[in-house]
Amino acid sequence: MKKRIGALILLLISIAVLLIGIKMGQIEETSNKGNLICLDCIGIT
Amino acid sequence: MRNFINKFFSHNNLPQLNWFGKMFSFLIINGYWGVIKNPTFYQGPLKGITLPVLNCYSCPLAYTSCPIGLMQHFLEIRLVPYYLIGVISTIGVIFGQATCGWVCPFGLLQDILYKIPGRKLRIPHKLYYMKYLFLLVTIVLSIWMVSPVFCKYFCPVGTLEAGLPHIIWAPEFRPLLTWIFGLKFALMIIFLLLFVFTKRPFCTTSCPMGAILGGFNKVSFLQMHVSAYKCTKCDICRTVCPMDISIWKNPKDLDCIRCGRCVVGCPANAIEMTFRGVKIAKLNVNPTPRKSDTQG
Repeated sequence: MKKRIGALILLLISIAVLLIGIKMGQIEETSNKGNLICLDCIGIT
Repeated sequence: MRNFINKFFSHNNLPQLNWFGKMFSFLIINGYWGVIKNPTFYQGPLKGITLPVLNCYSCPLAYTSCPIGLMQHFLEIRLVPYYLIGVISTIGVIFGQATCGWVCPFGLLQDILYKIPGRKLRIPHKLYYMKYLFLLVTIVLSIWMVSPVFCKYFCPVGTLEAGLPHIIWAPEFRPLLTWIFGLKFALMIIFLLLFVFTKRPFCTTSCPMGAILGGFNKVSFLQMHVSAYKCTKCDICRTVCPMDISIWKNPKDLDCIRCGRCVVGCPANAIEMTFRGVKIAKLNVNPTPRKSDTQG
């Protein structure tokens, strides 16, 4: 039971961190990064 | 609802369901087939989504962003990746490492190539720790060199999914190729060959995403359970396991990808999959491992 409650608390913390990231506009940053061709991934630098 | 879930998972169809899950996920994550008409790659709001699977965001078909590429980007710009940490930990706490077994397109490729008949080899388990080294080196060097070192010098996913397609249809990239592409191409070929002979060699030894997600196997809602009374320690679970682990030794193994093959493969019917204590995958009949599952 203790482990399950621990996991539930961890889930709530994770969701809180996720919401902080969303509020800080990190989805837009992710989108901006993803919308550029990654030359490093291709092997061009 | 609980009865429906129980009925849905409590038959011998888990391996088929797993294959369907991986194929379906591949088509969703890499669903930008408009690329056939217009040789470019998807650019849109869906790239703001990241999932804890290794799938290069520069792949022409990709709708989502790669978490490892994103992690390196945030380290480069010196920002704490709250969004990424939140996504990975939320999914990790709920499903553990199950996304590696049910969603990851690169895992699917490894599973498909391992189906090619022939002599199969086992990777020494000591090499499984290499992925933690890869993760550590990736984080340290990304901060120190201000560069996505994993993507740049190593990642075979990027070479296969992004490098090759872009070089094939964008001739302007070809004169810009450096020795780094040669290195990455050689690594990709080595991995592709290894995929035929060993079980998920990239996942077991090199994937930083798996190294992060594996930690959640200890606490996740989705768990494996082994009955000590029923288990005969025959180790068939290791034979059928795509990660080559003996789940009876440690049901919370950091490398378990929750695919459920061992649940179906166990001749003693000793293994179950549970979600917050509720059994969601168990067998109704005594199974015989399929020949294709016991190769190697």
